[in-house]
Amino acid sequence: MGFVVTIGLDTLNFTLALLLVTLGLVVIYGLMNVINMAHGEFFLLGAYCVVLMQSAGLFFWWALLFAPIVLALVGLAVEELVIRHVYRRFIDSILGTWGISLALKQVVIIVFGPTAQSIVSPIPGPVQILGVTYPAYRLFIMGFTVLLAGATFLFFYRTYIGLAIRGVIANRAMAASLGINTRLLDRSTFAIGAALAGLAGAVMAPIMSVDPQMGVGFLIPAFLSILVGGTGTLLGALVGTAAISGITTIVSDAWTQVAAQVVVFTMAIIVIRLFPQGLTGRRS
Amino acid sequence: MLTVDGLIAGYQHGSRVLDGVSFHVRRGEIVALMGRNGMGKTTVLRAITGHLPAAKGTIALDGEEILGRASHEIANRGVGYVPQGREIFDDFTTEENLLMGVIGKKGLPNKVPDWAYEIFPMLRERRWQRAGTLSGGQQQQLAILRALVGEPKLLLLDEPSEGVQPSIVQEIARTLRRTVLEKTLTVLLVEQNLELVLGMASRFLFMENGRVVDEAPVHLVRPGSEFVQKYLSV
Repeated sequence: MGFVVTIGLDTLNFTLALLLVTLGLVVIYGLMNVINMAHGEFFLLGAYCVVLMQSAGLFFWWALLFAPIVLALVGLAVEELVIRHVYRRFIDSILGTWGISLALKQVVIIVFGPTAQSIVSPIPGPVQILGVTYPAYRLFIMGFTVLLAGATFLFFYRTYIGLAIRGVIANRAMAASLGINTRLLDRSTFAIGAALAGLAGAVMAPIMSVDPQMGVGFLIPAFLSILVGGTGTLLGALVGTAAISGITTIVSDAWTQVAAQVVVFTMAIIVIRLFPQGLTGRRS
Repeated sequence: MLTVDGLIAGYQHGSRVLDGVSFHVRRGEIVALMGRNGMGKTTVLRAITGHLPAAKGTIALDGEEILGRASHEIANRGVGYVPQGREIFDDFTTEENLLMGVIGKKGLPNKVPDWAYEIFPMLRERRWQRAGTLSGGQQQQLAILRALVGEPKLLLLDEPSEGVQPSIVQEIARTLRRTVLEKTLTVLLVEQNLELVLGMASRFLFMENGRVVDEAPVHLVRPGSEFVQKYLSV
C-alpha cells in the first residue's frame, strides 16, 4: 500500500514539476508559436535569482517575487533585440534563440562559476501524508503549481487582456484593425512566458542541483509535452505533461531511467505521427 | 471627412495596384467604390486601414494624415473595418468577438453595449455559440456588428454580400442603412452585388487600372446604364 502511494506521489510530483516548467513554454511556444531555445536558460536564471537572494542573506520566499520580475525584464530585452525580428520565421527563430541560450549560459558561468550551487531548503524535513513520509517542500511545489496553472488559465481565458492576447495570436491584422496594439501585446506575452519560466526555476531550485546545465534537463520533456498534448491550449499542456511524466516515472521505477527515455521518445513519435495536432488538438 | 489623394501602392517589381487614387467622401455619405475584379478596390481599403505600410500619397481623416500610422491607431481614430472574408475569430464566441471590437478602443468600457444585439437580434440567440459555427450571413452580421460596437466615424465594408444568401443580403442592407442614419456614420463600401449597392449608396466611384476614373450619383446608375456597361459588366 505504502509503495503504491509513494509511486502515485512521485508521478504526481513529477507531473506537476514538469507542468510548472512547461507553463512558460505553453505561452511562448504553444500560444505565440515561437521556438525559444533559450527557455531553459530563463529557467536557469530564475534558479540563480535564488542563489543571489541566498548570498545576500534574504529570505527564500522573496525570490518568488524577484525571479519573475527579473525574467520579465530579460524577456522584454530578448523580445526587443531578437524575437520581434523572427516571428513566423521558424529556422531563424531557432538559430537566434539558440544564440541567446549560449550567451546567457556563459554569462552565468562568468558570474557564478561552472560548479553547482546548493540551496537551503526553505521547508526542510519530511511530513506524514497518506501513511507515508514525503518531503514537505515537494508537497509545496505541487500545491504551488496547481495554483499557478489555475492563475495562468484564468488570466488567458477569463480576462480582457487574455482575450486580446488570444485574439492577436488568432488574427493579428484583424485585431490591429479593431484598435488593439499588437506590438505591446507581443512584448508583454513574451515577458509573461519568460517570467513564468523564471518563477519555475526559482521554485525548483531547492530540489535541484543549481548549475549552468540545469535548464537542459527539463527543456526536452517540456517541448515534448506540448507536442504530445497539443499547442495553443493549457489543457493540452496538462495532458502532455501527465502522459510524459507518468510514463517516465512508472518505467524508471519498474525498470531503468534509460529505458524510460526510450519508451517516452517512442511514445512521443507514435503520438505525433497519429495526432499531428497533439492529443487535444483540433484539425484546422 | 475622408480625402485620398495620389495614393500609390504596388508590388516591388514595378506593377502598381494603385496608380494615383484620388477621391473624397463627405460626412454622412454612403459611397460605393465599384469596378471589375483586380482594379484595386480592396487595396484602397487596406491602405486606409494601415495594412499597406509602403503605400505613398495622402490619406486624410478629418484633415489629419493617417497614412503611415499603425493600424491600431487608425482604428482608434474612428475607422471601422469589415474586411473581405469577414475575418471573425472562429474559436471565440459571438460575445467574445464583439468584446474584441471594444477592448482595444480607448474611452469605451470593456463590455458589449446594450444596443448591439438590437441591431442584429439573431446574434443574441447565438451569443455563447462559437462564431466559427455560425452561417455565412450570421458571420457577416457579426463582423459588421464587431466594427459598429467600436463606435467608428467611418465604416469600411469590403464585399459584405460575399457568401451570404440573397434574402439575408437585403436584410443586412436595410439594417445598415438605418444604422448609418441613426449613428450618423460615413460609409465607404466595396461591393460586386449591384442590387445591394443600389439599395444603400448615395454616390458611386468607379475604379479602373488602379485609379478612380469616374463618379456618379445613385440615380444615374441602373442595371444596363452607361456606367454599368463601361465599368462593371464583364
